[in-house]
Parts: sequence; structure tokens; C-alpha cells
Amino acid sequence: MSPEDDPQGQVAPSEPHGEGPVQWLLALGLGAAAAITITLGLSGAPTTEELLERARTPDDPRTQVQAMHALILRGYWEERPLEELTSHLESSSAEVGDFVTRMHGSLLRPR
Amino acid sequence: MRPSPNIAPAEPPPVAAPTEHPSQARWLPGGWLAPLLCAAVVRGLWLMSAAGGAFRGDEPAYVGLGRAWSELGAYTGQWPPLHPALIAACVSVFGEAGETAARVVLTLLSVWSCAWLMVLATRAHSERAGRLAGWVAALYLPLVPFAHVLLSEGLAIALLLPACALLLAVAAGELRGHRGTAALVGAGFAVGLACLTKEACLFWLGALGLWGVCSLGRPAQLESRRWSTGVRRAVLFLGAAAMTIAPWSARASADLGSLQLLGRTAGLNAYMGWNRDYINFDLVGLDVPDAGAPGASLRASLLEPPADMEQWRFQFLPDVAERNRLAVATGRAFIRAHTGFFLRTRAVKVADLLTPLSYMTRYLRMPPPDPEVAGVKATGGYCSVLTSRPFSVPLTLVSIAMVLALLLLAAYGSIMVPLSPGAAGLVAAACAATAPLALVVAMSRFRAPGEALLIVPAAAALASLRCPPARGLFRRSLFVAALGLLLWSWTLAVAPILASLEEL
Repeated sequence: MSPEDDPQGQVAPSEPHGEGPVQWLLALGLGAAAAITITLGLSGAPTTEELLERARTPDDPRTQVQAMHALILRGYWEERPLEELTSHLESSSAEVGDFVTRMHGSLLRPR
Repeated sequence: MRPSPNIAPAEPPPVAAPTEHPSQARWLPGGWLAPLLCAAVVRGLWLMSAAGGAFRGDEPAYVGLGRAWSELGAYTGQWPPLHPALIAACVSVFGEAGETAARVVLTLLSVWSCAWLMVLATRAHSERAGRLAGWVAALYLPLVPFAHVLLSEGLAIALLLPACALLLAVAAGELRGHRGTAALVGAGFAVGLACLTKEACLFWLGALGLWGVCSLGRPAQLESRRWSTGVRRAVLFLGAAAMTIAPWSARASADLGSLQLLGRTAGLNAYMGWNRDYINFDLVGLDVPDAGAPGASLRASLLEPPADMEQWRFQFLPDVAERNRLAVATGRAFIRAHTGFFLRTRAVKVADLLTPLSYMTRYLRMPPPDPEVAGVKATGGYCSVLTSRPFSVPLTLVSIAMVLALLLLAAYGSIMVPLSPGAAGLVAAACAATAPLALVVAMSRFRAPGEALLIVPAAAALASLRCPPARGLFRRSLFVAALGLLLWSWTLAVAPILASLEEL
């Protein structure tokens, strides 16, 4: 805006020097970091066999529960006989059994 | 307060009303304590009716997820994780009292949200509007359930409102330089967290991003709009939000072995909103009449399902990713085959979003939970004197009247009252973020974040009641169209309201 456009003679406030490049760098950096994070998560997705292995990780109930959760989301246990699930639960930590009973009790019903 | 070199002179006051100059507005001016105390007292009273109870709906599922997370050490839900994380943290710290502690946290967050509405209304219009916004927010009953029922809306509102305030301050040119950059990153972080609370906040992310392109490139009235500045600032805001969401997206994608942005319930929502019988959780348990009330037969005819509805059911596959894909594909095929049905039911769903009913009226009509039984009857509404008729009937009527008044005032305030640069656009962004919910399942709960923001233009309208409205054919036409939409919606809502009152 020129002073002519402004009857009070005020000068339009301009952006502080360097704000533009800083914001572009930050924006692109954050966007790229987000894309890389998601890509890494997707490309590092464990296979079903790896999840089964993790679900038996000794002394790490948290990892066991997470792996069991992922297996259930992938529909793994619904396609297996009930006996296979119960035998897996017997060899897992109490937390895994607790998790399946509390959150996915229908899996334990005869099918 | 000494002016900061990073704070630019603000624009002249809006035309119609405000007598106070926005640049003189402080972040916490005097006179704000009373409405905030009132908000705390109102929410505290309702909290006492909620403590020890169990509310019907998604609350038991959220509590179960939070408790399981606290006890098993891993999050195992299909919703975004932030709200269950809040419950899990409360359970970890307070044990059996964790649920009550989480309700108290939500109550405090609700008061926090009231404060941010005051900030927003002050920024958008005047200090008087800010104070009025505080009183309206404090006393507005339809949003009070989200201050103690363990649903995700309360937390989402508490994150979205400060983000909006930061963005508005940048748009007005009040935060510049490094402070402006920090504000944009902070706003993106807050909206990212809101997305991690509630998947539908992705619509807010998109709407605020678009608003940012249009509004963030015009930092003051003296400066002409610079699209490149707007694009850059909007991209920074979106980048910060994306980075906030990304770790969870990576974890969810790793779990399923396919790209998952936030939650995993999109397929189920598509199914419920497209090719299943009409569903609206405001009306759960109600027998809405097909005739005998204004709009009842129209509503029934709009919802009349096609004859072949049964063949469009889809099979719930055990693999969640496959299930979502199948649900969406089946729904899209159904829409192509029944476009007319889809469009006329959307008319009802828009009305469902604008209904005078609310989760307050829903929980007032529900029986209290019965702790002696298992299943759905173990949950219900408030377990206090509130569910007795001498209280529930007037409170329901007041809640209904409050929604009617808020929507009318908000329509007037956002269209006919001149607001500060960017503020009217912000209200439009809130509406744009809420409207897509009519494409799936619409109910009063899903509009809650947008409803909270509408308190800002409503307060501006109250502050300008003695001033002449803004002129212009476009504004007047838009206002008349908004009134027509509200009238249409409320005509369709008469039958559900009568059914709701009969339940009391």
C-alpha cells in the first residue's frame, strides 16, 4: 500500500525481516518429519509371525498385550480354532489373558 | 502492560458497536472472574450429580480403555488415544477414584474453555462481548454434560478454542515475528492434539487450514491481503498439526500393516450413516411419532428406507482394515444406487445437527444407572434429584430454549454484526468443520466444539443489540437463508422434542 492509498499517512506494517524463510523452513521441516515418521511406522509394520513371536516375549507383558492387540485387529484369531487361542493364552502372561477376557471376550466363546 | 515490539498496532474498532478498542483488550481483563466462578459453580453442582454414576453411551467404553491402559500398560482401543490417556492417567494416580478424578479434570477444562471463549469474543468484538461470552458459556446448559461425562468432546473443545484464539491473534496482526511463528506452531499442536482426541477434528484441521490461507495473509486492515503469506502460515499450522498426529499414525499403521491416520472406526461410521437404518443417539430409547406433530410425517417420509435395504448390509470382517474398506465400498455403492434416499436423509441429518435437543436433555430423560445389574441398565443418566420431574422438566425446557437462542443469536452475530478481521471466517470454519458430520451420523454431541465457538458471535450479537445491524443485500440474504435453515431444522425436530418430553 502506498502512502497515497492511506489518507492518514500511516505505513502498512511489514513482516519482520526473515520471518518468511524461517516459517517456510519450519513448515516444510515439520511436514517432512511427519511424513517420514508415518512412512517409518508403515514400512516397519511387523508381520503376523513377528507379532506372534512378540506376543510370547518373556517378561514383557506390555509388548505381549500390544502384539496381541495388533493380531486381533488383523483378524488373526478369528480365523484360528479356539484351542489355538487358549493354548497361546496359557503360554502368555496373565496380562494378555486379562486383556483378551476384558476387551475381546467374544473371541473366547465357542465358534 | 508495556507493549511488546512484536505486537503490531491493531485495527480500528468494528463498525457497529464496540466502544472499546480491541488493541486495548488484555488477555485477562478485570470483570472476568465472576463468570468464570459462575461456570465453576454450575459445573461443580452438576459434577456432584455425576460422581459415582455411569452414563449411557460411549462413556463405559472410554473408561474401560483407560482402566485397561493403566493396568496393562498398553493402549488397545480403536479410537484416537488422548481421551483414554487422560482417564488412564487419572486411574494410575487415583486408583478406584480415577473416574471421579477424570470428571473433575474435565470440569476444570470446561472452565478453561469458558475463559478462552471470553478471549475469543474480546478479540472478535469487544471486552463487553468477552464478558457476555463468559456468562453465556457459564450458564449454557446443553454443553455442561461435556464437563463431567467421560466423552471426548470436553477435551477436544478445550484444545480447539485456544488454537482458534492464537490463530485469530495472528490474523489480526497482534502476534508477529517469532511470537507469531510460535503461535502458529502452538495452534497446530493444539489442533493436532484435538485430532488425537476425536477423529472428527480432522475436519477442523482442514477448515482452519483453508481459513488460514484466506485470513492469515492479511495481518492488519492497513495491509492488503498477501496470499503467499497466508499459504505459508497455513502450511506451518498444518505442518505442526501433522507432526503432532504422526507418531500415533505410525503406531496405528504398524498395528494394522496399512496406512491409518487416526482412529479405525471410519468404516463403521460410514455404515451407520449410509446403508443402515437411520440412527441418532440423541433419540436413543425414544419412540418418535410418525404423525400427530408438526413435521412428524415429513420427517417420517424423508426417512422412509428403500425396499432393498437388507441386501446392503455388509459382513463384519475380522480384519479391521479390510472391514473399513468393505464398509466404505458398500456404502458408496449404496449411495450410487439410492442417490435420492441419500440426499433426503441428509436433509434430516442437517436438522439433527441443529436440533434443540442436546446431551443434557438426553441424560435428563434417562433413568439413573442401576449398579445391581449388568449391561446397558448399569448405565443411564444423572443419579440425583435432577431426574425427578420437578427438576428434569424445567431443565429440559431451559436447555431447549438455550439452543434455540444461541443459534439465532450466533446467526445474527456472525452475519449482521461486524466482527474483527478473520473472526467471521473463523465462525464459518467452525460451521464448515461441523457440517460434514451430516454426511454420516448426525447428533447434538458431534456439534459440540462448533456449538461452543458459536458463543462468540452470540455474545457479539448481545453486545450489539442496541446498535443498528450491518447493511448490505448479501448479509441480509445470508441471514434470511440461515433463518430458513434453522426453521426447517426445528420443524423436523418438533416430534423428537415432544417424544423426549413425554419420557420425563
